[in-house]
Amino acid sequence: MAPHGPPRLPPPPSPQWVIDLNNLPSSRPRPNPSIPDPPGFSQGSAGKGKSSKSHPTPTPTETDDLFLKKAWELALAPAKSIPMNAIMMYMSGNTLQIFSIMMTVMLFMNPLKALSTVGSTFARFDNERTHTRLWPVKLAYIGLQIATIALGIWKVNGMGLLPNTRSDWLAWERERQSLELSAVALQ
Amino acid sequence: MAMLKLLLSYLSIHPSPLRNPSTSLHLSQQAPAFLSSSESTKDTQETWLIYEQLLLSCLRTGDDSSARVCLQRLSGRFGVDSARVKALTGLYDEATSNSRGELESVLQRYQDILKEDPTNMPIEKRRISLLLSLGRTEDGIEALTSLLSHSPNDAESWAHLSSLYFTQGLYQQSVFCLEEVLLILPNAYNIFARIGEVTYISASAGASGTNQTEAFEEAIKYFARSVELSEWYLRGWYGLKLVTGKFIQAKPSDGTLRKMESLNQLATEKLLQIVGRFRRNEKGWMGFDEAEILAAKNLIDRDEQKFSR
Repeated sequence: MAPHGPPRLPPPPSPQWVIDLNNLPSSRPRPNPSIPDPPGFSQGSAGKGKSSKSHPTPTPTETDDLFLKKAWELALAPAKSIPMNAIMMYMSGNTLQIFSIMMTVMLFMNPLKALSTVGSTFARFDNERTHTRLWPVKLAYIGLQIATIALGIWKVNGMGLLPNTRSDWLAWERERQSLELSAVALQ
Repeated sequence: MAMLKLLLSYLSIHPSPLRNPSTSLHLSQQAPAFLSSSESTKDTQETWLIYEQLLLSCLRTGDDSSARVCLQRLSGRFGVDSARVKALTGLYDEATSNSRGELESVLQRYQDILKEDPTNMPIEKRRISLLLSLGRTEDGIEALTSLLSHSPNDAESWAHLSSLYFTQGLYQQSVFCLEEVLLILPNAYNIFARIGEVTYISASAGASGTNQTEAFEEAIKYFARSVELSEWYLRGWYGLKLVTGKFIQAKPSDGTLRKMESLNQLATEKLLQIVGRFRRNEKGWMGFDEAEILAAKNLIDRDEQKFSR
């Protein structure tokens, strides 16, 4: 502090929040019952996690049913995309070009990936009670993925990429051995 | 040219001059010179902004005649029916009334305006603050809740309602309102600290049905969150130190005790650092309020005395 500064002011009064924190109310003031609550307020909702106690906790069978319902939704999800894929494949034409090739590759990649992770897809619904009930769900899921692959095969066939005609196997085609030769007699 | 530029640059340095008595005094002292200068007749956006700020600061410092001129020019430009001018007129009437009866008549006028046009937000807010200054807190709270039920995105009104509940001892409702503010402004560190304070006070007042240690822990979490968001928030560190100190006195189990002691230690260090740097007038550390620095120093001294005894 500079020695010739202005005269020292008295220290400023404490801010209100310091006073509030250091002079705690000894007893809870009786609140006036006519004061309305704020919109959305319910008794005991202030603070956290207390409102969840008011809901009854679901029984294990109920959660299992919910799990199964969710699992069925997940399993049937590919069925919804099959018609769309079919229309797209039908419309995109059978010529070999980048877009139709990409779409067709996707049609094989996605189901294969899904098939390799069936276990982990349904792992969150899996427990010892639901394990046996999950089998039909998984089978439906696998079936739908195979249907998607079948769609892909149909498309590849349409593009002429399947080696199912005789001309695709020309390398193994034997030269025809004639039983007899006939020649014009040159006389 | 000079006057307008001067005021504009002043307002850009102090964007809300009403927050501080000295800035509003400075602004209101410029008012007569500005009003008589030739620039005051310019019709630009900045001029009207200055008029509004001048009006407010003149009312605050008691320069009613300049305020009257400002108000007349504003209503001449925008018409007396504009919602904002109506609110400013009401404010002028409130500031110049001398008796309770006059204030009541202003209140009556607000209610008439609201009956005609219930969507006039500025008047609705004026009515609330007038009710509060008339000491009718309950009516004020009721009006504020109805305002919030139709415009729930108003963070300032939530904070205001929270402080009103706090004065009435309704701590649960107060915390609820602050949580609403957090929903709108999730990074408001001051609100986190305030929730901590209200939780602590409500626990100390023996709010029904809550475990005191649990509530203290809750308050500590809020304070910690506030200083996590803003490292040099004095109020957050203050609360953290105070409540962890109280917690240690209550002799908790071993694991929590160690945690609380290290938190208390950290808060003490931070507070000491703030106080020291403020006292040494370090650059960038002068923004603290002197009264708050003093309070922090007091808290540290009190704690030290307790240990040395």
